[in-house]
Amino acid sequence: MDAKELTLDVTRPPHPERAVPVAQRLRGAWHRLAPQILFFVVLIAGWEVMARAAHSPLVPSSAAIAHELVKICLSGFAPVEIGNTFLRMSLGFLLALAIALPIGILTAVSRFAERFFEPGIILGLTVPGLVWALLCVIWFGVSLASPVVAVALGVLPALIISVHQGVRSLAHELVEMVQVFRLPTSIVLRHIWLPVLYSFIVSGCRVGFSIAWKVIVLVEIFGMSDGVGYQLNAQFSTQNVEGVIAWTLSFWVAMLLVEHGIFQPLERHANRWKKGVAA
Amino acid sequence: MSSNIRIESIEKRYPARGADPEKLVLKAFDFRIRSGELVALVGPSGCGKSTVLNLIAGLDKPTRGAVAFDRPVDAINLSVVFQQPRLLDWLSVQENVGIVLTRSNAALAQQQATVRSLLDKVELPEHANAYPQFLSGGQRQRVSIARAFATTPDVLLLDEPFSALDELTARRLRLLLQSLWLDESRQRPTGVLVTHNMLEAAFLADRIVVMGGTPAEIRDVIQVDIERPRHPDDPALFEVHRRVMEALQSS
Repeated sequence: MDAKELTLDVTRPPHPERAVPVAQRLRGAWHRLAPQILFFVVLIAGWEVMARAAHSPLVPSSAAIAHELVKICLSGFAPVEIGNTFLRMSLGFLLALAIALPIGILTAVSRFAERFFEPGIILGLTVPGLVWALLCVIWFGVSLASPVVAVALGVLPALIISVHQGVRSLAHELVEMVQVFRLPTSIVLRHIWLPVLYSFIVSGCRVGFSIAWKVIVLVEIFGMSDGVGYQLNAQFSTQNVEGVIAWTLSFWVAMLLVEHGIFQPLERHANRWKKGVAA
Repeated sequence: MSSNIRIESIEKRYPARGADPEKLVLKAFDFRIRSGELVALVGPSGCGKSTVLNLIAGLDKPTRGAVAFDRPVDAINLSVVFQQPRLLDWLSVQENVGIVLTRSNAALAQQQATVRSLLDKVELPEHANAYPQFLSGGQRQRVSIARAFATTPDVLLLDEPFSALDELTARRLRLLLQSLWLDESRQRPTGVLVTHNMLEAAFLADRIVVMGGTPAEIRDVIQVDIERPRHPDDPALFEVHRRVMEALQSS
């Protein structure tokens, strides 16, 4: 038996939510969702008031937008285009993560590396996504490389900072504990570094994904022949305001699904041991 | 197997930093700790007690001299109970205790049995699956004590282990530590305790080393000849306490 494959799985701690009765969980869900539902009601009502007051094709009614939204969704057009955009975003994102991990760790453990990379990180934070989009379309043309590299460049600084902060958050006292007990490297990586970085990477990914969306739209507008950005541009060219809003909403819904279906569960999992979170 | 600890003519200087000048903490510091004995280091704040402990733990290097054991340092099984428990918050209680066993070659079942047995001894079996943040300060320190004993250490270092706890909890944990120390089923390590609490030193230690001065020197070594198990209210402890205080005040 490999002694390094510890022990530690003897019995996983029970998930706090499992012990909560169904009725209580439903009540909790309602309390969480009610303010968000109210937001949508207020938003739609406000828009409708504005549309009726303006009485112009530039401010379409909620019903017209909903009709357009249903049309692009049911035809399967929106899911395919959103899928294309998500694929490009995800590839760019993974590329950024692969670069951010070593650089973030390096800047956290080496003062020289921190000083070396600092101007680059500040530059990355300062340069607008529009610039990356334009440059990548010029450099790579209409190819997968354009959106992937542009997204990676846009997201990279935020991810590096997250990883850097994650590594720095590991208290010196814990490092000493590891040293005294001479824990094997594989265990230190798996049971200390990975969990510490996990929550920081998850929150970095959430921020990064919202940045990635802003960059990918621009690249698709300038240099792609499909994707949500391209569709937005197409609707804009024909002055179809319902179309612009419907495509924006469809992507917003997709992002909400990612947020609630991926990031929030990941974040809950990453923070499950924190007293305030579990309670 | 426990080991003698020889602190041989140690000098420790901390280099000047910013406005702080170079600091000479220990100079020609010599001391021997016998195998299986528990020695307490007491003295005023900043007198170098924790420096000695860190040098033994290998967390710091002496400027001159050496800390020697009966075997090469890599062959010495060393454990520490820190002032703060220093647990990994994202691991459960049993995982925190079990993690130090990963360096051993013991079978998984044996590791689990060791963890369970220690959690029984520190009276936390029902919290095996809990995360540290859900425990009280005293419970967390009990986990830390269980972790320190899990590897059956040759050398056990105790760095003000109860100073962050209320007195009632500290008293219970001192008794717990004594019972683990006297547990005949386990090998008794060589222990070094750093404390500001003279009664704690008298209760737990075989010898008390009174340190003082700058650089630090040994002002007195007091033998504690009180039979174990000791009771925290034993009047003999107060006599030891008085002698330690005398030694401190005379310095």
